[in-house]
Amino acid sequence: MIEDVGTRRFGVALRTRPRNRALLAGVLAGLVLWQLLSLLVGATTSQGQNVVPPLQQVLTTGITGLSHFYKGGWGPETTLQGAEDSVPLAALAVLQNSLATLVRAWAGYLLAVALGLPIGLAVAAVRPLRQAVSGIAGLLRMLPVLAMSPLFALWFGATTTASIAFVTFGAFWVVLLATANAVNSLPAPLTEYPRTLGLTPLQISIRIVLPAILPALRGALMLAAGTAWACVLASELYGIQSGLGWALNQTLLYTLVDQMVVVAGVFAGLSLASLRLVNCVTGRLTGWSE
Amino acid sequence: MSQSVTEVARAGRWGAIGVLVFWCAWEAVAFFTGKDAVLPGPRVVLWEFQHGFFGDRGLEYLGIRHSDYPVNLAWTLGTAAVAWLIGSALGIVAGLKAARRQWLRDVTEPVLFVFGAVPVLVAAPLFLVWFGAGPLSKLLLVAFYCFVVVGVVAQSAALNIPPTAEEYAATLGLDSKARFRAVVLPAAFPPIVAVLRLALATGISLEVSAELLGSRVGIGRLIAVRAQQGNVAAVLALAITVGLVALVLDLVIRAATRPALRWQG
Repeated sequence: MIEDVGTRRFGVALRTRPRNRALLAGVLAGLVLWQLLSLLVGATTSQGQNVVPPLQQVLTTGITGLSHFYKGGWGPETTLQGAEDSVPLAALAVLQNSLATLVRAWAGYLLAVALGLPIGLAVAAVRPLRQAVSGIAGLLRMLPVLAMSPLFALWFGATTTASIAFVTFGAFWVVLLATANAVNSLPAPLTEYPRTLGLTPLQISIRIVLPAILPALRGALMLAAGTAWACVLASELYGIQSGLGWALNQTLLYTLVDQMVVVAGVFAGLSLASLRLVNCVTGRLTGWSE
Repeated sequence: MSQSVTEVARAGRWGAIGVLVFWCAWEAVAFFTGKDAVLPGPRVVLWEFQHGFFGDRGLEYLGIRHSDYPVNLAWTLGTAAVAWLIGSALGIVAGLKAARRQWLRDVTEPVLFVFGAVPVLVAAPLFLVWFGAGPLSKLLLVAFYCFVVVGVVAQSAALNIPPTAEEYAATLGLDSKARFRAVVLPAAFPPIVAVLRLALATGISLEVSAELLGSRVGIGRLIAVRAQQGNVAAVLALAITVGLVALVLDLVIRAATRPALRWQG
């Protein structure tokens, strides 16, 4: 008898399943491991506390130190104007830079979807065009996209426009190719029957094809969202003077590991939340297919 | 059979036409822009490639010891390839085993859950501080990325095998290890090959972008210097060269795995 789902502690089963308590235990184990590593490195090297700061340092100076990333304009004075490091100022800094990153990531992502879907539908309608675009995309897919962010800073300057354009460039190809492939996989009668009823190609695309390909596009839309977050991070790391990626780069320049961990944690949280939102929205849109 | 060969040939022909049209469109846009410093055409990029391939004295004056393409390409792609091999091998083993052993799933789940969704690049600064600007930090970063992405897909591939397939094998007398070899491995292989190709392309991209943050050698280092100089043509030449070599490596993987995937038809 083979067990269908893993129930025995160390047995072999056909299926295992994710468990929330394992996730929680993993996070706790990670924190304990970090603290032990900090104690070990701190005791054995002169710069240990700076390289692996203990959790109490991450939760104190790691947070208040972020006050330096507040750029002003929202009421309170900045640290450059003489304000002391504090938790409220750090919260403002995190909020200000998170908003900048969120706007860039989401604007770029939505633009990529808005462009990729209709162009993908148009490309899929003509087989030679789809094959030609696949040829170009096959080459572009292999380019080191993340390392091309300095190009966009050269073209658009170190601005939010550069970041949004870069995110759009990164995510656009994912949506375009997935749309074209999804249309190609649809059974022919699905579009032939409405055509006999007199629907125009545009009506067929919007009313028949688009809803039909959404379930197949769900994974690609998630992948594009992940790509968008990687691209926004890359663009902020190299050149742009605001956002969580910029703050992360500054902590690297001055080796402020305690602040680095906090910024990375905030970025990871936002990225994870965004992907869950995309998953939730696409899940609702494709609920009929499950 | 001959129809599918014709179809593949037709797709290849249109693909080549697409690349040619893209090349011409790029050249035309660059011509009308009229500024090589902003948008150099393909011929300018090719010229930059030819003149920078064996090194650039100007870069050597800036303190860059190795400014030629071969050394930097070998450094970047060599590090990325070794990291890809290590990370992917560990990811395949962990993913497939975690699909069948609950304790291993519990151990790997937090890492795969978080970093399956969060860009691994976010950890690059931490790796640079801990392991320095040498190859070790990038190797570990790319290996970690490959472990996560391959692990997630391998686990999901093993979980998606219909239970009846394994139950049928069990009725034929195959024990757990034999079923793993005869059923799980072959069934999970196609998605694993697909993710191995994806991991290689993205791993190289991650390696180059980590080099932008801090490295003494590598294509990313050259891209960073050229971007500081505002040399768009050189940045494009370097990025396209990496892309073309990555494409060749991708073709090698496809050719190497084709015999094992022949059963798919």
